[in-house]
Amino acid sequence: MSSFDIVTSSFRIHRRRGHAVAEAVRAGAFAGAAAIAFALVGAYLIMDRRFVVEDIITLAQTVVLLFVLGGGHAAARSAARDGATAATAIGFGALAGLVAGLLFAAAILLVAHVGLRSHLVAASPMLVRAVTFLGAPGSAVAAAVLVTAGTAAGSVGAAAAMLRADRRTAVLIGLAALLGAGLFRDVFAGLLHNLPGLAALEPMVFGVGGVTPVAAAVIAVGAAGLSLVLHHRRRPPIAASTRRRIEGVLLVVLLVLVPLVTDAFVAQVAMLVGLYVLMAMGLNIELGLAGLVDLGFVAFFAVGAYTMALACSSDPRAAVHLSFWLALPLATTIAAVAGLLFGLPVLRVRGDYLAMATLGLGEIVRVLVVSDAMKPYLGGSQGIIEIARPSLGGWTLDTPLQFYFLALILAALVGLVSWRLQHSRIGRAWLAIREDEDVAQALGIDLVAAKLLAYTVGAAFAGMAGAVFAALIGSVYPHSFQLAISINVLAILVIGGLGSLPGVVVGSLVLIGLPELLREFGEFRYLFYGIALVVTMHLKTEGLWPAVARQEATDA
Amino acid sequence: MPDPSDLLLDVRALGKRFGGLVAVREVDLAVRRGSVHAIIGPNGAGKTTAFNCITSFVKPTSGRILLDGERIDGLAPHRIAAHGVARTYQNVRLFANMTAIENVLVGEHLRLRTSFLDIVLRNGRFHREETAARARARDLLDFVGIGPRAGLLARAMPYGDQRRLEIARALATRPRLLMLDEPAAGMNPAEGMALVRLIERIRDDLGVTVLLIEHHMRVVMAISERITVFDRGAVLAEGAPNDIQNDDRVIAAYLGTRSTQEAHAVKLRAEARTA
Repeated sequence: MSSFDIVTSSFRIHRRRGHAVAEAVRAGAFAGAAAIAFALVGAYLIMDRRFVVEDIITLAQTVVLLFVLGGGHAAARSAARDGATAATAIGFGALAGLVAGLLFAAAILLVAHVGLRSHLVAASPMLVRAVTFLGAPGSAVAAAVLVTAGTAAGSVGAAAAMLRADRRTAVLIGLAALLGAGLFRDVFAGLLHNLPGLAALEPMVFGVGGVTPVAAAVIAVGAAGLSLVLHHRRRPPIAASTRRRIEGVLLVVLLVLVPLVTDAFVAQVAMLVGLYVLMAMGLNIELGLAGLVDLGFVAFFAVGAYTMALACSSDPRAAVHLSFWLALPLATTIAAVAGLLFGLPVLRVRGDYLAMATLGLGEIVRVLVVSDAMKPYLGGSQGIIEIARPSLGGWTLDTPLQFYFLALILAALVGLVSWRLQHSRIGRAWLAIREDEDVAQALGIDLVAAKLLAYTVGAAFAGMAGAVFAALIGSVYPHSFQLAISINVLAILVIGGLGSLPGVVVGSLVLIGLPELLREFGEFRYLFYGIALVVTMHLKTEGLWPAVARQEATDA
Repeated sequence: MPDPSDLLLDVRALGKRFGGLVAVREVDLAVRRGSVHAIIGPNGAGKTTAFNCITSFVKPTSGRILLDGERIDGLAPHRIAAHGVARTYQNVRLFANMTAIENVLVGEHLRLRTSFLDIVLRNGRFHREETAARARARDLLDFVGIGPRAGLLARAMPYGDQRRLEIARALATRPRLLMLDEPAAGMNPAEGMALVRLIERIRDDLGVTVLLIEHHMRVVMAISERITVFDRGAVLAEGAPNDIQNDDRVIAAYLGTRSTQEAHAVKLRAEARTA
């Protein structure tokens, strides 16, 4: 027995005795520590500039309260598991909130009155001001308010834990809607502003930094109410397939309308999301269907981009001068050929080794492109510039919004091809290989041929994305084709749900769209990004929008 | 010795060594066309290894394997399947996240001919072939008795149905030789007898030759025309069920496993002393 085992087993014994008080204190201490950690890395300083509810509560204050809320929730649930009544459980939640509030208030007093700045840059008077709800920053009154607010938040979190599941979901959705409205104020304000007839609503709903108090109440209560109504009016239950279809149509409508009526920045983000959707659909064939891990996927994106550059640029290195519409299928084809050529050596290895082999291939391509040897052809680190924009009958695509729609149309096309392949003998063979390679082979599936096909099709889709990317940016540089892109695409698939086409879209929106929209929080957006990843993988292990088969299995 | 043209599977002097361990040595196995042939023997006798050699899961170290007079040893596993050999597994190996009918459709892969372009265009040829394939798959599911469960995920099915589904999937490749690795494992006597009837129908209605590894003696004795007994990687005996039941060596191998092992160990020690 290792010392670690001893520690965990003693922890379990401790739990079984049902020390609900100790549990509550622990949950509170954990929440308080998390809130303090956020303070000391400086996250609140950036969030202080934003109100969730205008003039009432800032984002920084909301996040502090959310930590405590979570602590109270956890304490109450663990107490309820040990058989405590609702009232007792809420009491334990309040205790957790009190502990968290005390810890946090103590930390803030320390920051206010002891000079910690030489050690901790973020421990500034600004921080103290950011997390002060009432009273003079750093005063005993402010600290008391913090402790009280913490106790209240802990009780609220605990009370939510004691609700029936449907009501708990409603409360959660109401809170999430409010937080979302405040966080993405600019997007929603732009949306309201541009929607005909709704422009008058904008100043009523949104203040300068966040949601107005009245609108906040309407949004939170409305969202919670809607959740309850939807939950209970399923008397004649909607068939799962119909529901999925409705959800799918809604997704498409959103994809078309939202970038159309919001501002140029959103269109640019949407464009980026569109490119990632294209790429992720490619990797979905390789990894989602055939189960082939590919960490060098960006190589095919690069091949497509460079093909577009060499076919459409006015650069002297350009081999030919084609229109975008001819260069696009050419780039797709050449990327497919690259996939075939790369696949031949690496597809004979399995699993982890395949990941390493593809990682190597991706790096080889990047190094080749920056190398002096290829400089006369590919331009080295200076890249290739002046790539012609696509034009159609005298009309040139140049705004991000137009490119977004190009990407959307291509994604729809690629999605259709993917779906048809998936539901055919080829797709079944891929799934079979993913499930059990040896058995698939014993049933007559030629592993090398099937894997090569998956690799080739995936590479073609990525090449298409690369070609559009090159035409959008108007230039290609080797530094645009980093390993991080391969990793991002992989993460999109895992978060969205392996083998699921809607999952690809949702994954791209969450992993590419959100960080862009949260750009105002600078480096901290990656903190949220990381937390979101961990939480998603805990709560929805099959992804946000799992493939049908897996979803049915988890429903059953 | 039967007429060679009667033999569907003819294994000669098959040997398989894993490093220093000899799993199978000098095994001869002759399976007559249209018969049900059983392989029995204690655990570790090399039965599954022989199966794995025949289906090319592992490469034999020595010997020859002929199917209908044609050598198939050394071919890739998917080529063996194309030659008409299908199998099931000791521990059921279904595609767990696919539905029952999809599992069977994977088995039909060999027979499907639609091209990449047909599939992307979803043209008439694709629809015709897909419809026919689904109809055949449903027939096979009905044949093994799990037709109503076609839409269920394989992993959500009861164990007995999973075993039947595995047989349906193997049959979808339209094999000449069906190899079943302990099909009755984990079944109660009633289920075992239902399996016997299914195997008989596979032989009689579909004309498929069956080679099976099995421990349930009631099942083995009820359906096998011939039985080959494996022990420590070699063939101990071969014959009709009655002969096998009364064979002293077989009884010793089964009942006296312990004592013969001890005798073997004593002999080895004696040899080591004299060396």
